[in-house]
Amino acid sequence: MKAIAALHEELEATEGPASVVLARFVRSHTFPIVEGDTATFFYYDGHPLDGVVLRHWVFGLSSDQPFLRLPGTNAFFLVLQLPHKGRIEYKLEVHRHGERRWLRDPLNPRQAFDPFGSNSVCPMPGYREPAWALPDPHARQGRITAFKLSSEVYGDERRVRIYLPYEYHPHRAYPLIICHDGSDYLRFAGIKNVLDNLITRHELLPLIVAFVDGHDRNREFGADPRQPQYLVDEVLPAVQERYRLLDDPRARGLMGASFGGVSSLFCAWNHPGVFGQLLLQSGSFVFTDVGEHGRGPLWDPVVAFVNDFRRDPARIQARAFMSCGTFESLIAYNRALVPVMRQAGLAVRFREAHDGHNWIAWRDQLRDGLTWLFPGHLWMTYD
Amino acid sequence: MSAPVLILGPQRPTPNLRAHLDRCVEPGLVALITAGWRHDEDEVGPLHKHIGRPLEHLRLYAIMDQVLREAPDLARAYHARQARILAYKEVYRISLRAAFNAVRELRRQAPIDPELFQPDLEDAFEALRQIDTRLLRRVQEIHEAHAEVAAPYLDHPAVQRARARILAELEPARALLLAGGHVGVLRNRLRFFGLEEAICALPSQGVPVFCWSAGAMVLTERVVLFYDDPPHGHGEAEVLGEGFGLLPGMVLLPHARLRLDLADEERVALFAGRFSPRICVGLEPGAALELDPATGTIVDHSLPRSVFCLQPDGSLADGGPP
Repeated sequence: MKAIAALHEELEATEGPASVVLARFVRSHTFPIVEGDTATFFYYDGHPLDGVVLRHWVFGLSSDQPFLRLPGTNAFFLVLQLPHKGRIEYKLEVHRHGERRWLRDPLNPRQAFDPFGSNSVCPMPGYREPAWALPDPHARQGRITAFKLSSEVYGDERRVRIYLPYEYHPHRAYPLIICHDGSDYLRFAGIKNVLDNLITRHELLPLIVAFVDGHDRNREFGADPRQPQYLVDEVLPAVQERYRLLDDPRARGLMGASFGGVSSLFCAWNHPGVFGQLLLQSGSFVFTDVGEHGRGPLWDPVVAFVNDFRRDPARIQARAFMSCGTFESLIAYNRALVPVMRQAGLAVRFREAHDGHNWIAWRDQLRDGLTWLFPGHLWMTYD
Repeated sequence: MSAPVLILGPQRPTPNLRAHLDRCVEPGLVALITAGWRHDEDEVGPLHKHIGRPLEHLRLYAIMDQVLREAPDLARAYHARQARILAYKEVYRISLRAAFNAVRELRRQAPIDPELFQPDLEDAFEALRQIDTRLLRRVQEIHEAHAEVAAPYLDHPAVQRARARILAELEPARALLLAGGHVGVLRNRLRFFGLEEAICALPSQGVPVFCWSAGAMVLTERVVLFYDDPPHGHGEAEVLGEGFGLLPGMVLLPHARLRLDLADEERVALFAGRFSPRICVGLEPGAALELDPATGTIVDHSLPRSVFCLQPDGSLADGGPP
């Protein structure tokens, strides 16, 4: 805010054109301007425009935050207070000549990617990109391979990608995690880097990950009875045929984000005792105590399942690591599920972060989640 | 004539074993112990290729498993003892955490009034050291309470046979290579066969010992486990137990740059002070310290910045111990 106040003063004092002052201001700052716990978003492209709106996914704030115009200029700004460790993804909506255009913040080079494209990113001063999530040239590299699976359940052919840890030995048995939205975890959450780094540091047991994708994702992952059947009757045996797996539910896990979290829990619920470890990120665990959920028909089976699950959570016979962003509308549902599961005797670890419903937020929780479910021998191994 | 002990840095990503082996040992057979690799004990191909000379692989991990299968009574007693030691470790951690909190808080406040705080800070440090010492004593008591597995090689035929075979295989070797891995498993398997004395005697018999990572840690007086930023639980270093004492006066810290927050002077000072007067030595790939156990002299053949010592003032001093 100090920066904008200083700019305002300078604009008032200048006798020359405002454009010169504004151009200098843009050159001499990085954007958004973060001062303490406030972030100042700024837009100026030198051309006339009618307005700017911040489009973001911070639950609790109005999703469209209008910018203020600096008097007498075509420059706009918005000041937001955000948590010290917060991180938000956003776009700008620029209004010009009656048209509204969404764009990434042209003054901010930081971007995050997802299946729909990319967003601008505003990290607050307390947010640190974890070193274990970034490529490390000294990490021992696992490898990704793949096979095709002819699915009777879905009546089509599907690709299953496999992560094998470094120095994978065919004679040795490994734990397995089946990962929903595998392609997105690989592409947008950099999960291979995470696995390589954590295994190299002995924080995580060497394990195999089977990455699966949905063809009609929202329907298949939304408590669709075909998905547990597909994973248990087709994917699991196909992986077992090709690789040696530890024959113990505690060595078998499921993971996923959003609807992938629902599908993981739904699968464990439908096949109790098969999967003993669950990693559920921003699970879309919407439930109702009374009345309608109001989220559309796609959610009907999800809500029905979560309502059933809340009545008998112990049926899943699994440990669960759950995480959710405090900027998500799902935070309340996730928080509400934790005590229900704990009261039923399930081991649950729950983590919150000041972030949203996005792949970087899910990446940033992978260390806590994976290493809690499959801890390596980090204290004892020195090689 | 006595032979040296070569303390090497981690052998990944770039091994330096071959260079120092060729420098110190005439061509010929060397013995290798990889028990710390556990299930992967037999995966010695890349290391064998690296050293390029005949190898006698002493498969202690597999042999001990076999012995315990043949002697279920011994296995039961052994596992009962280990379970008791593990249970005591939880007790040790409770005391350790409380002592750490006291030291940290006193150090934080000491600059306000050093004269007032300093004596208590020194006492708190001493209490921390005593907790480590007590761990060693309590573990020793547990060993004594389980006398039937205190020195099994002395009276159990299955162990006697295995030990004799291992010593026979070791006998013609021109050097012993002691690889890293799981430090607890490596130490326990060496102990199970009563090999600590045999290994410590090798240099005086003219047989050099090359050790790295966990393989070097087990040869110190006191094995210290360390990881400053674990994903779960506390990051305070713990004493695993006594080592074999061939490398006195030092605590070895392989991969210290990855495992310790060396930029945090407070943590470095605490670490160094806790284990003083032993010198805490960080070992990175490229490290090579040549120790003459007879005289205690060390010749440093390390690459730059691959060896450093943690100082009580929180700084790092390049090079090995003086």
